[in-house]
Amino acid sequence: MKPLPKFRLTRTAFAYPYLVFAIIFLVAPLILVIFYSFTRQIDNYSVYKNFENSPEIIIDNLDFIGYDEDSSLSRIGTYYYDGEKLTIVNYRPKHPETYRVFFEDGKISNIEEYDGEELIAQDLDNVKFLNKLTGFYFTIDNFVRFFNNGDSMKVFLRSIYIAFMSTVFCLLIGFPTAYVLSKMKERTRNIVSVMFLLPMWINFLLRTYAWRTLVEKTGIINTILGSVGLPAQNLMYTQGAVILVMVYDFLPFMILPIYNTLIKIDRSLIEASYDLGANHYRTLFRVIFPLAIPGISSGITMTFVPAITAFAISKIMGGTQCATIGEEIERVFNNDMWFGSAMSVIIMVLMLASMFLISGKDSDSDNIGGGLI
Amino acid sequence: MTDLIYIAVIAVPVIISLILLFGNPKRKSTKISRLVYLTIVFIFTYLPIIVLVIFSFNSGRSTGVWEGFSFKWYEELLNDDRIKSALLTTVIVALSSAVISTVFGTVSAIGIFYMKKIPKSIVMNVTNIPILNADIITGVSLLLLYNILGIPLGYASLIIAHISFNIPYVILSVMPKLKQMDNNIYEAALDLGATPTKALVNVIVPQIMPGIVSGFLLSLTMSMDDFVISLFTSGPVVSTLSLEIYSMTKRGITPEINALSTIIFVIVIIVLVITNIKDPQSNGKKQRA
Amino acid sequence: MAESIIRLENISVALGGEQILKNLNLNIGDKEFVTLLGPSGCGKTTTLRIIGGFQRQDSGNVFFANEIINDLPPYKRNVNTVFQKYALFPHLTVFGNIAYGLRMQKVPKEERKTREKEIKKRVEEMLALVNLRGFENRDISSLSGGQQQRVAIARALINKPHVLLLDEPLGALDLKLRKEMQIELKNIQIKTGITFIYVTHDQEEALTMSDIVVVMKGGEIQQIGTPQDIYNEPKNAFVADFIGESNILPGVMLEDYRVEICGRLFECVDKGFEDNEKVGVVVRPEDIEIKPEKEGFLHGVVKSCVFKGVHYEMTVEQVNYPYTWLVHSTDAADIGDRVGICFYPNDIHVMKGEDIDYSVFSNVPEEDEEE
Repeated sequence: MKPLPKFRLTRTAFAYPYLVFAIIFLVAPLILVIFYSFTRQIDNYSVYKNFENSPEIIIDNLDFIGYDEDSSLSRIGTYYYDGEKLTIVNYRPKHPETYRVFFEDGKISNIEEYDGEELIAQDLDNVKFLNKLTGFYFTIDNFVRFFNNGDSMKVFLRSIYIAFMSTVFCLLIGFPTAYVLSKMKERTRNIVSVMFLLPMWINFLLRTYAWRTLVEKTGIINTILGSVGLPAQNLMYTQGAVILVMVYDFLPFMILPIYNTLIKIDRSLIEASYDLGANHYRTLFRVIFPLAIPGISSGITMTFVPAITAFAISKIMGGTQCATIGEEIERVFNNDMWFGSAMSVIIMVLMLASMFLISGKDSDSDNIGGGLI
Repeated sequence: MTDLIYIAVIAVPVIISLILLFGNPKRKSTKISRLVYLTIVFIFTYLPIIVLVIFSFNSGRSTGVWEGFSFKWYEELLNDDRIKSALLTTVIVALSSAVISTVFGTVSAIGIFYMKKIPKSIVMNVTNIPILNADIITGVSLLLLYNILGIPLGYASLIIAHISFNIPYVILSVMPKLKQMDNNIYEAALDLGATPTKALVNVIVPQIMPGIVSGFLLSLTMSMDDFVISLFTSGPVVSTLSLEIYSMTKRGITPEINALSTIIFVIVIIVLVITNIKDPQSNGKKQRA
Repeated sequence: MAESIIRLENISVALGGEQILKNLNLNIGDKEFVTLLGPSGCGKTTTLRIIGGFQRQDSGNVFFANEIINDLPPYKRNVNTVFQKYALFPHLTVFGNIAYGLRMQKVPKEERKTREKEIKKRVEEMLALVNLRGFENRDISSLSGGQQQRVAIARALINKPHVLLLDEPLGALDLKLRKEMQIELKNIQIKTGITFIYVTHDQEEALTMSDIVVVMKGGEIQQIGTPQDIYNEPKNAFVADFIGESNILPGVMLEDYRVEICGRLFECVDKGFEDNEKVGVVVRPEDIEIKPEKEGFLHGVVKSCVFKGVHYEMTVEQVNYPYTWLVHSTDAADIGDRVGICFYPNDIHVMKGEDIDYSVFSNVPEEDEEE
């Protein structure tokens, strides 16, 4: 191999530290999420000691998927007995329940639920808790659980609905705004577009909270309604309130990309359309709209993707009944990383699919996020 | 039912303006409808902010019920150690992560720029991940990583997380400037006796400066505004302003925080006005060029 | 030939699977003005970049004054370059650009005080050399193309390189300015005594300025010679066609000084071919005389006649033989006229021509598509 000249090497070498960084902090986390979503943890509970002498052993924290009262032993899962210690492979350690395990000839003969308390303390010596994170096994249980579970599906579908409605309203409000902006004089429109960005400098939680003050039962809108003699509206804690605030929060992300494409449209194309006898509405639908498609699609992506995982907005505006998938992930993640990861993977797939649908096959990744930069 | 009310409230003006404002720009109805439409959107945009600013002067504890004018909460703000420390944390995290990301990102962008086509496109796709990905997934996945690597949650984990989502913005703002640059300029510097490092510092960097500056500002903004990723990566002890506000929304917000954001908002406006006054001069320079 | 300053030995380069240079050997003498001439994609710029150190050859050696400099990075080579689009530093003034090379040099501590003064003096000298006195503090972007060109030359010359590489430096200028700069460049070369290696695809530029012209095609050198050699004695059909316009047609060398073209025997000045060897024959259009039909050696019908300023450019379709002649003549002829074609023995250039594809060099005027 010929030695590369030094200077050539130095140029690409500038990127090497970043490559390492990107692999560790950008790629590895995603791989971890995918990995976790397809695995579950194995907890080994080992029971030592002379259980020959005491045929009953209490095992704490035993739970497993699909356990029911009549279950036969085979449904426990896996257990090992090597003559000295008994290891029970447990699927879900998070539901503290107590079980009694009966042995006959060194083998488990029966397991049953046990609710006596004093015995636990006394027999806990028999129960050894070994390595909580001893291993994992591959499974699609997490996904099965998600799609079988009515609650999580409900949250999932609700998130999609809220995100979809928010995106639609953002587009309906955002496109005309961007259009009007683009028709202004350059100096004016620069100032006006900065004014649309300005609120983003106030923490979004605070802006969201300010809406609460507006739409609360005793809030400003209801006060105004009341003073005119109209009945107070129950606006808080509804999906409508959540959508309203999402539209509010994500509107700039819709306006800016569309505005950026609209101002780049060659004026002569529009003039040519007028020249050829098209009126303003025809020109809008036949010329301006098709040319603005890249901006519109990146606006939709930039609204839909954050809206679907929006965090805290539904908590502040919608209370518990309007929880979205983002909050569900956060809630679940603390207890069950595996299930939380599976939910994250489902969201990622959904986002990729929507991006693919919106921007088409020839999607240019430069385009997305381009409105902001 | 309530959904329908919202739909009506938003959709009716939208449909009317759609018809009117796309009409002939010379017609008066078009001009007026455009103005009205924009005004409505502006009211929508600034309504909560006006409310927020007004209630920062409330004398009562509520951010919704007006009890009288006072500067009480601004004074309170000066004495609130929790908010002050959260603000300090936010500034420290935002500044340090923005500085590190800018330096690291700029150098990396130069390296990536000179890569061959296929590795380059792979690296750029990886770089896009945090921008395209939902914040919550970025946060969750970093938490998993920290768990595995045994990195304790705190300042370090928080700053690393911020760097990881800031760097892509720096790279994406520097890259176009590199593309605009005449490739021969680097070679010209080498040709005239500059070592690669010298050529980088006194030829390439001055030319991509605008990209570096906008990358830095973008990082700073994203970092200050971040909430979700910080929530997962900051741990129990460290708290940024966003996290502090989030915990307040559970306990109930006092106008104190309104006062703080009013101050931040005013500072941003002042900075913007100053840069805009400066702008015409630099524009003139560009035109002459 | 002058003492060798740059020597390329068996240089081969492939980029992206394409062979750019094939086993190239080239010797460039000191203080010479050498032009690498060829169509785009012939490898001339790559050759220049290898000499400059911007590109590494896959195999072969680069010698500078008989020393191998393969691994020497560009900033250590005593060679400077004028880039195609000038590559001036837009953030520096004219002075800053020209002084850049000097500022990059390491200077012992005791000289640092006087350094700025010296830089100023040298820059002024350079500005004088390229006729840009008083432009020191101008922004690069405020200069015209020609002025930027001069700054680029001054910047490359200030380090007093042994060799100056110029990559199509005049390509972006308009015709008039280009002619002026050609003369000026030649003058600078003579004044400074620096070896110039000049890359261009413009044959006229090459013939005007060079001491030596190197004609390249497909990564290989076709011919090396003085402009006169190249023009008058092209070694092959490509060179003949690329340098100036020409009639290239097959012939048979019957014996020394006798060649058969178009079925007729001609006297010529070439020898050293085998008897009855198939050859290619080049006749320059300006060497052909148009005469009344009876006085010509060959007869033809005028197919087109275009006024070109100095002369008329005619195509004449030969009678009894499938060839169309390209003729430059000061006299006009009407389309359809039957004329005689005349040329003299020393206007006939014979070259080896077994495998020439003559159809490429046909002078048949292209039909206008609209008609």
